Amino acid sequence: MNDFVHLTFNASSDNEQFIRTAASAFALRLNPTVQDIYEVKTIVSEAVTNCIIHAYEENKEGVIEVQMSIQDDEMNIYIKDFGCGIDDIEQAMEPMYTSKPEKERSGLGFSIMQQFSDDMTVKSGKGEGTEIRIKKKIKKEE
Amino acid sequence: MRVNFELRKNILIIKLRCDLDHHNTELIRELLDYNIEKKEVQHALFDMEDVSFMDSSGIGLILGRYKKIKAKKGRVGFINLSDDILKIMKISGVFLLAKLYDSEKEALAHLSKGEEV
Repeated sequence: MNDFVHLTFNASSDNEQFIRTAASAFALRLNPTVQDIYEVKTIVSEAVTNCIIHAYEENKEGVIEVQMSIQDDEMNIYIKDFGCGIDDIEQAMEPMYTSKPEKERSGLGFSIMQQFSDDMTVKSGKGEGTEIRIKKKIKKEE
Repeated sequence: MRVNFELRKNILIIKLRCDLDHHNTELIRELLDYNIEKKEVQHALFDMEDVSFMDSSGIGLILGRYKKIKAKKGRVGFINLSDDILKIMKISGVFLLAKLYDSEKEALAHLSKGEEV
């Protein structure tokens, strides 16, 4: 059986720091490099921010689930929301595309998540929430 | 305080002292703009020494402030970037618009000279 943690929390921006810190703390048992810790934190931060801003449009009643597990030298991160869903995933993943330019979103969240992951899949549909699965190999600190 | 300001002639030194995530960028955006929009300010120098985390929300914040400074025909510089922050800023292309300096002294001298980035 692989170790896992499952966190459920509401869509408050006050939770962002806790969740990314929890993710990096969970990764620590793999003795990761400083760079991998930063990348895990960033992946989770981007994903949770997307849930809060886009899925729930900053309605704090929204619920977000994050599950993390470890398999050998790989970390699996699963992030789920029950919000509005993404109409056009391909467009959402284009670098610099944002549906909220008025909020000064850079449109780089998905690109950064992709760049820092070894594999990322996004499952979503209008009104159906969004599920993101990420695999990240963790390099051991020498 | 999440941010400190210091004005040197027409250069506003903005010392950010928090994680630049969605939560904090929402809290400091108006404060940054209030200071940037003062008439004495033309250029901005971001001191990132006390920023230990930044994601795309931080990039959005910086690009937004860049536009305000550019509207004043000013320039934007950065000092004291950690390797992690440097990496995310390179990915985002911020350095096409703003310059990274080795020291505050170098930044202040260069920004006040009015040279192109």
